[in-house]
Amino acid sequence: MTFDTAPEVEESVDKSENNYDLASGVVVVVFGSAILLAVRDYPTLPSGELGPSLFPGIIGGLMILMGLLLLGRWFTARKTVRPAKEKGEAVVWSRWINAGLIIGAVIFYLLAVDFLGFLTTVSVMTVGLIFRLGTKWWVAITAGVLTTLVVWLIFNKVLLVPLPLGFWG
Amino acid sequence: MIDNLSQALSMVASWELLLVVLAAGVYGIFIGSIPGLTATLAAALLVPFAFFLDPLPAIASIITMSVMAIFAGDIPSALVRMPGTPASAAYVEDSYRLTQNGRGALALGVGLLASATGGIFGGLVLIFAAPQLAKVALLFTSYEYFWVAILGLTAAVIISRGSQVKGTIALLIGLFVSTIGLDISVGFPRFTFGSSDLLGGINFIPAMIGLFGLSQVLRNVISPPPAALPIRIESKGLLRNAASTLWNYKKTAVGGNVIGSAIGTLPGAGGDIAAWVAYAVTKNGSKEGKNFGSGKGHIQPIVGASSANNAGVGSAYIPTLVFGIPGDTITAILLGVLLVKGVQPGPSLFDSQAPLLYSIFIVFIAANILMIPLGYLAIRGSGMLLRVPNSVLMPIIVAFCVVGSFSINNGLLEVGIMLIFGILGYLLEQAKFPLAPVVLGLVLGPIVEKNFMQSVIKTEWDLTQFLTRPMSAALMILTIIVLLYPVLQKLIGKLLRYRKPL
Repeated sequence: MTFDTAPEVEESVDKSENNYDLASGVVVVVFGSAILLAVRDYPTLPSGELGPSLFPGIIGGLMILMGLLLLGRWFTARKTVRPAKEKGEAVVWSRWINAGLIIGAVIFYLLAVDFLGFLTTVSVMTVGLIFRLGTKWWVAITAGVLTTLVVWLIFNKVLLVPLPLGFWG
Repeated sequence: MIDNLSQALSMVASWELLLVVLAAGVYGIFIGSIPGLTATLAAALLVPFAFFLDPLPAIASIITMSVMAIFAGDIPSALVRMPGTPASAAYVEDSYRLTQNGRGALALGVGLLASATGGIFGGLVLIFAAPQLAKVALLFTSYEYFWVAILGLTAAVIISRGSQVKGTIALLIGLFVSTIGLDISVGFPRFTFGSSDLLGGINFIPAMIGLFGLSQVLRNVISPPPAALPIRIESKGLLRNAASTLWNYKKTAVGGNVIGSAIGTLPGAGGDIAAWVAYAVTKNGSKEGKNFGSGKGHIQPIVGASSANNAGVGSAYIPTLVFGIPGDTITAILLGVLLVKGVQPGPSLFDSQAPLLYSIFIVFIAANILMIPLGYLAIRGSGMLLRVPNSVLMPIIVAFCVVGSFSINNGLLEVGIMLIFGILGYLLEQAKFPLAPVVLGLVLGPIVEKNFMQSVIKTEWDLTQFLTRPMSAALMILTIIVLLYPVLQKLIGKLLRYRKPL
C-alpha cells in the first residue's frame, strides 16, 4: 500500500515544472548562502560556543543542500521532460492585471488608510475590485459598501479595534 | 474527573459560547462548500476574531469551523465535481457520478452522517488518549521536547504532498522566518535590518492570513475555477436513507474512523491525508474496489474516506494539546492563537487547566452533533451556496485579510507582512511547494531552538544527553523510522502490489 496523498505526483516532470525547479533551486541556494554570510559575525555565547548563529546557520546550510538537490533534479530531468501540458487556454493578460490590482489594493490600503480613513479606503478597494472582476456597477457599489460597513461594525464596534479615521476624525 | 466535568459543563453552557459556536459552524459550512476555499483559509481568516475572544470561545470557534468545513467540502464535490476542501478530493469522482445518476442526496447524506460519526469517534479518541499521553509527557524535559518537535518537523516533510525536497525547503523557509527578531540565548537581533518593529519577530497571524488567504485569492483570479452550474438534488428522506446505507457499510465506516484517527495523530498529517489513505484501504479491501471512481459511482469509498477525514480532525488535537506539536495546519494556527492567549499547550494543561480541557472535549462532541442539522440545511440550500459569484467573494476576502492582519496590532507592518506572505504563498504553490510545512516550521522553529539551547547551556554542550536519556533515545529512533518511511513504504507497496488510487 502506498500513502501517496496526491495522485497527481508525476514520475516524469513536465517542462513548466522543471523550469520552476531551476528557478527555485537557484533562489534557494542564493538565499541559503546569504543567511550564512549574514550570521558570520553574530556574537557567540559567553562560554564561546555558537549561540544566535547556530540555528540560522543550520537552516542556511540545509537550504543550500536542498537547493542543490533541486538543481540536480532539474539537471537530470532536463533531457526527459515532456513539453508543457496543453493548458487549453492562452495566457490571459487581464487575469494577471487582476492579480496586480489585488496586490495594488493592499498597497493602496497601506499608503492611504492613515489619510483617507478606514471606511473610505476599504470602500474604494472593495468597490473597485468587485467592479473590475466583472460585476455590474450597482452590484459592485452595494456589495463593496456593505462589506466595508459590516467589517467596520464587526472590528470597530464589536471587537473594539481602533480603525483609522483619517481626515474625517 | 466528575468535578472537572461539571465545571467544564458550566463553562460551556453560556450564551456567548453557543453564539460563537453557531456562527463559526455556519461560517465553516459556507467557506467549506465553496470550491478553492480551504478549511485552512477559513481558519486563517477566523484567527483575528478568535484573537479577541476568551481562550475557550476562541478554541471552540476554530474547532467548530474546521469540523463543518471538512464536511461541507463534500457538497461541491457532489454537485460540480470540485472538492470544496482538499480533504474531499479523494472521493470527488465517486460522489459526482452518484449525483449524475440521481443519487447525489444519498452521497451527501452519507457523507454528512459519516462525517459526524467520524468526528465523534475522533473526539472520543482524543478524550481517552490525550490524558494518558499527557502522563508520559509530564516526564519530558527540554531534551524530549526537542526530539518531539524534530519528530513533528520530520513527519511534516515526509507526509507532505509532492516532492520531499520541496517539502524540506518549505519547512526551512518557515524555520528561517521564525528566527527573525531577538534570539533567545543572548537577545541578539537577527535579520531585523535595524528595524525595531521586527525585534519581536514576524507575527504568526498575518503571515498565516497571507499564506492561506491572500495567496488563495491571487490563485483564484489568475486561474479561476471553471464555472459550473450545480446539479439539483432531491433531499427527501435524505437522512433516513443515508443512515441505513451507512449501517450497511458499518465496517468500512469503522475502518475509516480508525485510519482517520491514527493518521490525524501524526504531526503534520491532517484530514486530507487521512481521506486518501482511507480511500486506498477501502479500495484494497473491497470486491468492487477496482471500479471505484468510475461507472455510476460508489458509495463505499465515500463512507470510508468521509469517516476518516473528520476523525482526523479530532485526533489532530492530540499532539497539539499534549505536546504542543500541531497535528495539521489548522491545529498549527490554533496553537499560534493559544500561545498568544497565554495558554501553553502541553501536559501541564491537563493538570492546571483541566476544566478548560474538558470544555474543549465537550465542544468537540457538540460540534459534531450540531453538524447534522446544519449540514442538512446546507445540503438543501447547496444550490444557493454555490451561486455566490467569485467576483464579489474575492474582494470581500481581500478586505478581511487586510483588516484581520491590521487588527492584530493596529499596525500597518502586519498588513505588509500579510501581503509579502500572500505573494510568497502564491509563488510557492505555483512551483509546487507544499504550504503546510511553512506553517509548521514557523510554529515549531522557536520550540526546537529554545529546547536545544536550553539543553546545551544546562549541560555545557554535553550532546550525549540527547541520545542517552531513555525517552530521548526512543523519540530519536521514532524520528529515524519516520525518516526511513519512504523506503519502508516502497517495500510494503511492492509486497501488496498496490496500485495508486484514481
